[in-house]
Amino acid sequence: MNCQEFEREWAALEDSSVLMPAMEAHRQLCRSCSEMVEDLHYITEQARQVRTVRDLSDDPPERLWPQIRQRLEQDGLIRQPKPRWFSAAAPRAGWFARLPMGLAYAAVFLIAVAVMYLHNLLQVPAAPPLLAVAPAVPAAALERAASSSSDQDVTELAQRVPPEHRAVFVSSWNQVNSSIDQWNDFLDANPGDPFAREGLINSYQQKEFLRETMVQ
Amino acid sequence: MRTVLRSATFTGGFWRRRGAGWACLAAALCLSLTVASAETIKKKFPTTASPSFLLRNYIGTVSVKGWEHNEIDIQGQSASDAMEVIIMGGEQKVSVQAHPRREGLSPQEARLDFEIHVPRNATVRVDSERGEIIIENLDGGLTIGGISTAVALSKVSGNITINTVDGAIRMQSSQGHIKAESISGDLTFLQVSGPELRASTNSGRIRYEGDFGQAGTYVLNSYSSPIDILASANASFDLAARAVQGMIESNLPFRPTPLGNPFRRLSPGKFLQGRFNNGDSTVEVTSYSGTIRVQGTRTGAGPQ
Repeated sequence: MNCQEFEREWAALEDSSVLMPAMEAHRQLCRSCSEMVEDLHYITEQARQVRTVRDLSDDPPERLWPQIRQRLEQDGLIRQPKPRWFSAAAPRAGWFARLPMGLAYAAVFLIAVAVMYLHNLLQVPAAPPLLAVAPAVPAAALERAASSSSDQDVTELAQRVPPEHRAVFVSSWNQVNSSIDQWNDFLDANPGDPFAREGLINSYQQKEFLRETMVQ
Repeated sequence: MRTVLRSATFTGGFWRRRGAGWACLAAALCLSLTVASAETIKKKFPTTASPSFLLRNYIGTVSVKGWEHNEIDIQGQSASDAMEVIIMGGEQKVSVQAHPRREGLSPQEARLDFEIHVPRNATVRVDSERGEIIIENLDGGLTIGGISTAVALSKVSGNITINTVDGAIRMQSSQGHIKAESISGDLTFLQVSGPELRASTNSGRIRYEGDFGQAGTYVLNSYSSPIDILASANASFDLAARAVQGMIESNLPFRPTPLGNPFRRLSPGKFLQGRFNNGDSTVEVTSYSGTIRVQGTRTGAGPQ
């Protein structure tokens, strides 16, 4: 097997980490092909690392690219080719002459990274959800629920509730009043929180429901 | 032509309709068994396709099921003759009201169980202080009021309003404009969707399991209790969740959406906003001190 045949066979491989026996034999004899295999494995490994980093964090992939570039320059992969001065019949002095193949792998890698990056950039944030508007509660009902005098009325009402339900009503009434106090305290400190305002309205509605149920 | 039936037809009439001999024998049997006399109620009313049905009970199990006949069928069983039942009916409206004949009835004496069939498009209102209310296959609108009453709804649609004090509310396979409120009862919604669901409780647990339908508004609100949301993989909704003193836990991959100014400084454990799939429905969840959990169902947690 010569170097050209090795390249053809290499390009056809599905798993480049496993070479056929003839290719392996050539790789052990040919230093240039051996270096090419080593460098292409390195590029593949770097691409995997980039993908892993993209999965784990939001850091841009450019952070890793300079390392790859530096290594490629050190190995001469992206330098301008020098004119060949040795005989074409002689074994090739290195894989430098087959530089386009290495660059093709690097280009594919770069395009993939660019597509991923652009995809993230073009993913426009969704519109903010609108808070659901709470149903209108009659102001009089809220005022009545909020007034302290109403609690005296309810104390009298509770005495008329059948004994088997009285404990439930008293407990529920105290519970709802406590929640109203908590929501009010929170809203005093955070007047702009619409969720808290809705929570307070709900508590008022619960209080009004308890009152109406006791009256019935 | 409206038919009006008074309670005398049904209440306590069983024994009066029989001869004295039978009554004496029955009374002797009752005394020997020391069991209060029970009474069976059966009545049918031909109605329109969408009549109103109202029932007020004290204690017992009330089952109302929709069917395809233009007829309301009422079957009841009282545990004693201490309860008076008034049934009034016509083509447009049928009402059933149970009243205690005297003060201080025990729960056993006051118990009345009903099994009722109504046209599927009937508008139904049921009030019961204790026991169970079971509603199935109704499309015409529903109002339920209870104190310590467990409410179970299945396959109902339309305008649905449920209120209890400490009775649990459970809805399944239903849709419509739904408002469910309880002071301390648990609220459970399984495969419930529609244009609107508002669920509010002070200290009961809220659980929603489903896909939030299409373009609906879902508002879940508690004061001190946890709220659990299990969204199916094909659910599509925008979420805004707020926990004041409790925490928000989520394992769903929400796409971030721009935050309003008041919430920029809040951690995801206190305020969570995002879009799941296409954000077709709007889901708003608030709890003061309960934990809000948003998860995927067992069949799949990730977006489609």
